[in-house]
Amino acid sequence: MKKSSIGLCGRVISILGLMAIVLSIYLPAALYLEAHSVPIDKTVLTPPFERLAGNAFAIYKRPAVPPADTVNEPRRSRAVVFEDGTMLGPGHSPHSEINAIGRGRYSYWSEGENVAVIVFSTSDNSDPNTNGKTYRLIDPDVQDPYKAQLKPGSSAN
Amino acid sequence: MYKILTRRSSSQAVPLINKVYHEHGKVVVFNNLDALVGLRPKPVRRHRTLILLLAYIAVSCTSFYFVQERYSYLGFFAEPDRIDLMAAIINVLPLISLFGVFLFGRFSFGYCLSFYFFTILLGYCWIAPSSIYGYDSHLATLSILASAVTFAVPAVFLVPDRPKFPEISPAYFERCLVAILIISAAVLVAGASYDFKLAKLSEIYLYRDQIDFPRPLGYAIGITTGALLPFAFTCFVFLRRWGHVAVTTALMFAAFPITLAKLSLLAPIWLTFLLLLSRRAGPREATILSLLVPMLVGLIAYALQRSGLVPNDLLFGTINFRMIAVPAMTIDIYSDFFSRHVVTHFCQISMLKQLVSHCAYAEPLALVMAKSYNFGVLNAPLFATEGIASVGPVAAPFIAMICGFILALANGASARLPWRFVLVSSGVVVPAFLNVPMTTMLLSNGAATLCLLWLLTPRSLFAR
Repeated sequence: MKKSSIGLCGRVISILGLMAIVLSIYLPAALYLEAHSVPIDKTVLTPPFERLAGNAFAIYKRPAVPPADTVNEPRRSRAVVFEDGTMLGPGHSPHSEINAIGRGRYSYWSEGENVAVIVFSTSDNSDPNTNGKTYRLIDPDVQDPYKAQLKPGSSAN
Repeated sequence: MYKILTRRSSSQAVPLINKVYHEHGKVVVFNNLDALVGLRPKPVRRHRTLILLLAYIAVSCTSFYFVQERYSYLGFFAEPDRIDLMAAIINVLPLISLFGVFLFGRFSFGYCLSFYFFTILLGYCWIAPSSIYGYDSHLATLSILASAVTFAVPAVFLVPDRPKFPEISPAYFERCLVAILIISAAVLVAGASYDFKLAKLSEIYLYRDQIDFPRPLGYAIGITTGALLPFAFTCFVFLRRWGHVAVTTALMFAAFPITLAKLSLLAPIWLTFLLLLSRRAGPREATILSLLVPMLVGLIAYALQRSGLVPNDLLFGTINFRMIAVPAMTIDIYSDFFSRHVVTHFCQISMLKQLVSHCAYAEPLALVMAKSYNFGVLNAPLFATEGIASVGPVAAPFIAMICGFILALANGASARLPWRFVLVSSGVVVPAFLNVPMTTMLLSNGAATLCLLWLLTPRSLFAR
């Protein structure tokens, strides 16, 4: 019985020692990462953009935003596409118009269980992969229900 | 191969029976059969465990990949491309090195729980590089990796002995088991008087949020379904009281229309699966296979559904998505939320909330997440709740370590019980830990009650 108690104490001390080593390596690295952490702007649409046809480009991978337009609700989406801070439009445009005319027309569209896709054109019908401009998808209706608990410098988006 | 010798010692009046085992030309003498059984050729078993662990990691990662692909339309996962796949593989490599813990650790409750947690933390590390949220996933991944180590090492390697106190007699214990059945039936009848709905599996989410038991009854139902019934089921199986097993099974099924929890419906099937598995495999292998087999079944079902041979992917959705991937996803969501919002300092725990004058969040964390992410009520495991939500990612590994030491006490409560008994009787509590904070699990979902029952179980019951 005594031997077992000593064994347990020894084991606890060994485990605590190992934990101390792990945490002493971890803590400086974690504090460094916390101090140098740069939150990603999740509204930014990151290239590559896939050229569909004519002036239309598409991006499938995007941050979560409220529901996109569908066949049954073609004007449901409230999301807006920005080009370097300038709002593009009109939204909810038919894809044929985005292809043929472009000039900032866009659509945020989903079909069934497929991933919602942003089909858009640039303001000058240039290629968004190479024109050096930044594109954002922003939902103006996004309200943080816990705005009062936001850390200083944090935003709802 | 075995010789049984009788040796008389001058100092001993009773003959001591020794067993002799010849291994590689050496003769080893044993005083008891357990030690003899323990001298199976270990390298072969470790080899089997290693192969199973590697297969498990490969299957888990494949499962996470297909879950991301299948459920990205929900808007909580990104659809993985080739770059995401490479980033995910690189991101899980440090955590995979933790599999040594499961290769060399001995089976215990802590071992089993740590292995289940390992799976969801693997899932988190898989999805973190392609997370659609804007938080710093490098810090969160490092924190989760450190938390995995600081939790698993004490939970697996610290097995204190059971405190010594007079045991209750097996006959009296059997009467206590019958009393457990009567109490469980009474709790379920009381629960049914508040809520009883025969809903399809696909409809349970429509009704579950409407269930509102008085708090003491809610606790009693959680303890009954999580601890009392699975414990009684396992005891009756070990005692071969098949009539009582049938009654316990019926009570477990009866809990489903009251709680509308899938785990209640599947509990008897799941416990039987664990029982059969433990007859065929060793303790480590049974633990690994208890997740590997369902995950493989889910993947096969998904492949069949994709090839049009089965109409839906219910199994893949239930096992690979809901049971395994959603807990990993909750860590992603909690990490995002608490990267921008103040932490709780544990005031989400009901008892502490009453003591603290000002708590940043008036509602339970699951509701806070429901309002913020529109994904329904999102409960989460201890790494997300007691860890990230309470103290933030930097300090989370310290909390994980404390939780690991607390879980080591459960190892002590179940010490000297047959490993199969521990595996099966904890069969409901262990998967529930993946979705529920540790404090809730201990107090209202039956984990502490189960430990108490293990402590009181007479060890002589299994010597018969």
